[in-house]
Amino acid sequence: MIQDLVLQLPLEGVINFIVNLVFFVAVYILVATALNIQYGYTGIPNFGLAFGVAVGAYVAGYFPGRLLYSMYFEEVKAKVEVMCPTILENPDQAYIRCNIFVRNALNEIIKAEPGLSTALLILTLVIAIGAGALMGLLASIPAIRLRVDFLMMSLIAIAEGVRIIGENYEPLAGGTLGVTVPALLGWMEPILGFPRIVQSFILVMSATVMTMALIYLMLRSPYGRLLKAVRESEDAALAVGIDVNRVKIEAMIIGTAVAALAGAIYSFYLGNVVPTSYTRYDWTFWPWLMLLLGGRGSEIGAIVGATGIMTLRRVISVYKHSFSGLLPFDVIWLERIALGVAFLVIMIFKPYGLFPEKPFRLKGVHELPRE
Amino acid sequence: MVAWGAVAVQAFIYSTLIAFLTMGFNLTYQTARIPNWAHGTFAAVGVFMTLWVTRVWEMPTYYSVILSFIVVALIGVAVYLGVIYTLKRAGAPEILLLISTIAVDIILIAVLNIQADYIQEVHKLNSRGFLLREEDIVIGFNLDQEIALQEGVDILLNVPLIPPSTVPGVLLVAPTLLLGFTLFFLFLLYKTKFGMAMRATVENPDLAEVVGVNVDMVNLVSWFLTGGMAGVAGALLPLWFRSYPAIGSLIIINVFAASILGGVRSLSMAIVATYIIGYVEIMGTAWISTIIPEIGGVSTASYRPLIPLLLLIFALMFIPEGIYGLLEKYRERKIKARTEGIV
Repeated sequence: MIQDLVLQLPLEGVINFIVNLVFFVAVYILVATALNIQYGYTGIPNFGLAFGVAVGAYVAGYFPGRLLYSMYFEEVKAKVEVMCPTILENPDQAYIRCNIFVRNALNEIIKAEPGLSTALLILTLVIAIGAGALMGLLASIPAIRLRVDFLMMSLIAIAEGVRIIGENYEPLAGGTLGVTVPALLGWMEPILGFPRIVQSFILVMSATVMTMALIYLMLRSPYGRLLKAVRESEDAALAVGIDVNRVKIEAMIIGTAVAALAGAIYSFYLGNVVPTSYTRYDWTFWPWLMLLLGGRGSEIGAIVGATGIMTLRRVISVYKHSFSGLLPFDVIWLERIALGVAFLVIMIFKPYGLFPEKPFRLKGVHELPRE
Repeated sequence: MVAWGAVAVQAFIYSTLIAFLTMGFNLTYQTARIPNWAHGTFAAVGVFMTLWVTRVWEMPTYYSVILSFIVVALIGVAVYLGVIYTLKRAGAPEILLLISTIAVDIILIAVLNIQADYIQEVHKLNSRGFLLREEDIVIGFNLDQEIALQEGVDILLNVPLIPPSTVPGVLLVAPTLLLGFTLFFLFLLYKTKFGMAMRATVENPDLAEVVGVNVDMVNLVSWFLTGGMAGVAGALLPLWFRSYPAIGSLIIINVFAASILGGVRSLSMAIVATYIIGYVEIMGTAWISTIIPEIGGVSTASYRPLIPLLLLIFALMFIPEGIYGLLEKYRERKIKARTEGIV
């Protein structure tokens, strides 16, 4: 039966599906790794992970579009004023109200500006990382010295706060309706002949591979062991002179910055930022499940978990609509129940995940001298 | 023009209903040592009980209070036995126990949404954003219910207010029940043998077990009672506030803020803190709305949930031990001063 369903899909659909899948897996690997730094290595139960992703997305939704809009205001005005008269009186409001027209005009303009748009893309990603780091720091200030249960609840509360602001404050990312993101790699199409899907693919893959390489260098260095020392016993770490709170704040900063980068590339890929889509289900609970399934604190746990679960979710998302007529409720709730049950099952039967963390061995410390 | 009296009443009911939850949250926090993140959603189950009772089964409204108590208390017991007890026996660390209550929350919200869809689909009733004020009994008989409903519009929730000449039942029932539960808990904790066992478990579960306290039984009873209380609060909620399946996720922030501000070790201070937060939240939003009606294209009232959040951060930064801790410190200092005089 599954075979029949697969055969019904046209070839283009299959390619689209695979590219989409690779993309989602890459983004979720970043998010799950961010959590691995915070929870797996340092022991901070960050159940507010989604706010990091959201902050990165808000930067992508706010910064490049507005900057280009002010730079090319006259050109955009000439193209848009017929469809959107607001632009003559209140250009600031027009950016949100006539967002799609503005985006189309901007995309036309920046197609001819490869240098500028690439620089702007990199700048946006850097700002997103910086904003994420700042948010990580801000969230740590009231929370980080708390006991693990208070810490977890405070981070959830802070994430809720970011969500409320993002969903309501329209100038930031368009409120509930969202805002578009200009296609900063659009120049590749006329010059190199790459369609949009390839552009996004290049962006996502290069960002993910570079970030993951950096993170692995960091986690394998003595710094990774420092994080684990704090996780294993705060008292023992304090006793040997480690500034525990400082290390935890650093882990929050690094993790949130990585999550923000993921959020920014996610919005570039989609071409828009809709604040209501940065839910705690998609960007906190699912990454948590991925990490717990793969194995917290292990090197490949986050990658395996993100790949496995995202593949499953994408496959389900293709077929779930065939069930929607049969049930008197939305199928998404079944997925949520599966999410909750999977948490419980993993915690009861595989508390260390599929690939548990291996103890590390140091030369001269763990090797006994030969008799 | 803000009808401050009406806003104060709003804040009073809001705080009273959340106080049920804060009390229960603190109790299970102390006995089982984990903050039950699903506590808000326990109340949401009660919310839908009221919808079923009044609209689907068309029974008297207050039946749902009793029904919710039983149903949610049983859910509490099931969660304790099925999840927390199981995980504890498997030797799970504290952090996984915390996560397990979030998993329970996810499952419960999904189930609530499924039945909300079902109500909408099969019974053609609004199950997202419903308000059941007209189902409430009215105490005081000078005004016709119909006319009463047309008077005045609530600035916060955009729903009709009942003028003060009639008193909706929930306004009397909620505080009475809260008082009843508080007295019951005081009696249970300080005048019975089982209460002593409960207090011993709170102080030190391992030591309590050594001297023969059945800690599992204590936990089971506290999950039963606090679950039931959450159910009662939930059952009363739609009689005054617009309700939807995920309402628990919003309420839990208030509960948590009140729990920290009051001090997790104290039931009475948690109630005091709930009222402080409830009043600051509702009155504060109404007051700020009169000065700044709109922020970033939406009405200021949309940012209301930020207020308990800010109070939470304030409490965490400046009085992490809570009001209870402050009082405790004060008491200690007083005792010290007195003994110094003797010595």
